[in-house]
Amino acid sequence: MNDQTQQLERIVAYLDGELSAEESAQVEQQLAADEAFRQELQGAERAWSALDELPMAQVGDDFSRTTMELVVSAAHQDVQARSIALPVQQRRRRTTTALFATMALLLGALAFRVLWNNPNRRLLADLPVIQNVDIYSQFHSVDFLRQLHRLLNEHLETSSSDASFLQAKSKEFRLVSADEGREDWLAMLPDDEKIVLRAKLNCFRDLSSQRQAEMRRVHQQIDSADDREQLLETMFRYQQWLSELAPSKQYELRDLAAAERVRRVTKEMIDAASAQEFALTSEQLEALFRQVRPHIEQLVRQTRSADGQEFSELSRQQRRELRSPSTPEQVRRFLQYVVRESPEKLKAFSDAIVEALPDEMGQAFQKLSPRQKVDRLRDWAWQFRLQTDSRHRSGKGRRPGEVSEQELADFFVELDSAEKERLLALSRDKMKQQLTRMLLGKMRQRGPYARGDRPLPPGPPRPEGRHGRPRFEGERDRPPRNFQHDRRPRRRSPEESVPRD
Amino acid sequence: MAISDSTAQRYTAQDPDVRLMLQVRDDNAGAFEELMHRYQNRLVSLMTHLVGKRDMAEDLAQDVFLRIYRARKRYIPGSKFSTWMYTIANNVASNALRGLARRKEVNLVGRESGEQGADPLAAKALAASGLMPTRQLDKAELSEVVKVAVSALNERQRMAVLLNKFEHLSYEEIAEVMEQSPSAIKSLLSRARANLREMLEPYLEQGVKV
Repeated sequence: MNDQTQQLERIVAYLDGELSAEESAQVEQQLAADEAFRQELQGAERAWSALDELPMAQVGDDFSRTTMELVVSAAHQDVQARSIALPVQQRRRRTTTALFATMALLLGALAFRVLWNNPNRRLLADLPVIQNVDIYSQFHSVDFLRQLHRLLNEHLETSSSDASFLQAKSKEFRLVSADEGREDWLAMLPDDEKIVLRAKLNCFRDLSSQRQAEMRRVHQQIDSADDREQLLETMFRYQQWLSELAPSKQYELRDLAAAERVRRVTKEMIDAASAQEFALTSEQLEALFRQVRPHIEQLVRQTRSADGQEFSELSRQQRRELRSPSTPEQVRRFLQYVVRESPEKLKAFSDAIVEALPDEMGQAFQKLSPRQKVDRLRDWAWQFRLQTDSRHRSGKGRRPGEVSEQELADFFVELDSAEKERLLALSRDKMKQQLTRMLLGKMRQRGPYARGDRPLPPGPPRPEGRHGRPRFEGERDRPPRNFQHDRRPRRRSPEESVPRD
Repeated sequence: MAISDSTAQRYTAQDPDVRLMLQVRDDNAGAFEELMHRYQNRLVSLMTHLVGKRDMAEDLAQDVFLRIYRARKRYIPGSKFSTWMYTIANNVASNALRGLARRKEVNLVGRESGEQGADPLAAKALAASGLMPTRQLDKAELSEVVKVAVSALNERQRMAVLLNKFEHLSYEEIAEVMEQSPSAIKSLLSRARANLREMLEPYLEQGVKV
């Protein structure tokens, strides 16, 4: 390599910042001392700067669309290749779902690109509504939030962790709602949130123009209300709670009339807060029932011996049930009956419960009304039963909290299409993880009878119950009282799914 | 070459595009769209300067995105995402240019051989353009001259220049993309710069009309 070439390489590497500090210092010394060297460097730099004049390409929507089409087609081929080994029916179902998801993706891509690359005034103006489209789809009027706020305030305190979350959400709401900060907010949005926002835009675009206008009006009302902070707190609190529910439950709530929905939501939020306050580990549950069972059995014995007097006004079946309660719900009804008839009888096992609970939880339990205490005991009983049921089955390798692939598959089929799409967009592991969590949550909400949300299959009649007690009439042929037939949400149009406030 | 866990973790922590690509690997379609949105203009520009035809450049850029999508399940972060993507782009562009050469559809000045000096065709093309170095050019004219000068570089020089100038890749990263040593890239870039200077200097000396 000749000197001239070496010198050129040094100059270029210097300009590109590829020299060590020592080498750079040497170049700078030479620059100061050598006019020819300096001119050489300036010439190289000038030519390099001229490259800034090269035109840069700006692709249009056509490019984005056709690229996404190619990707969708590749995804489709992937799904077909992966499904080829599956049975025909499963294959059809999977292919259809994947196609649906990929088409939605394609449409979403096109819609979002318009907002992202060229945020026109209408879409930018809708940004606050798009950002909150999930929660705005849950109600039609600000009055709903006001009623909810009033009831929640009466019954439920906001925890400190909730308070910081709510403050952050309110701050974001104000930021996005302000005309001047909106574009900056959009530009600064982290990647993950951009992806979420993209999905929300797709949801918003799926709505009718009438429903979109209604959401804009609700947003406007909230943003300009004197009690805006209260409304926001209530709305985000509601949203946080709602996001934990299974989609079927969310549909169920949306179907209710506004007043009834406020009542149900308040009750369920209080129950959820209570469940959280009284959450027990499996060991604590075991300890609790070791402590409490003898007291309940004693109460049952006492009640049996007094049979004929205390139960005289009840039907035959009710008497039978109260004589030997076996399910948690029967225990609850039994205790409820006992408490109503002679409240002092509750005290013995109430003390036993407090003794078995952690200190703070014991104190909180003592503050409950007798009815709440009995309800709480019923809920613990469900959890305990679920736990022990799982263990019985674990003889075949099943652990508590574990669900089979078949159960997951059955549960997945029952989800609504939006939820399916969301899950299908995840990796297999994440999808399974989330599906399992949703299923377990649902099982915990409804108790062990609720597996799959379907009636128990008609089995052969059993002359005796599990513990040798007489079988109640029709016990095996129909689901328990709290079991609800076919509560699966039927598929409906976005308009149909909107509740009427 | 196997990529160590620590390398993968380092790139995952440092490069947000790597994190997006990992989401694409997990079949997150939104993440793929975001990556495409980030790189589509840059990739089409690169391809346009490499192959000299806009429609062909768009086809090639789409091919790159499709290859990225198809390779998602095998993706392990062993470098910055852009380095990985430009490696794919380099392969796609090289194949396309080879195909063009076979079909004798060589663009205005693209050539495969010769490392030294600018293509003599380029000088002819500049002369034929009517843009004489003896007069002051306006910005649009200078842009045209620069375009011809860049396309007069050989394919490897052109790729190295574009990655260095517009994608801000280091010598090491360009070396990875082009599967050469960093010192080879250093030589390649200095020759490319010398060639550019040789072609552009006469025009630049006259200054640019404002």
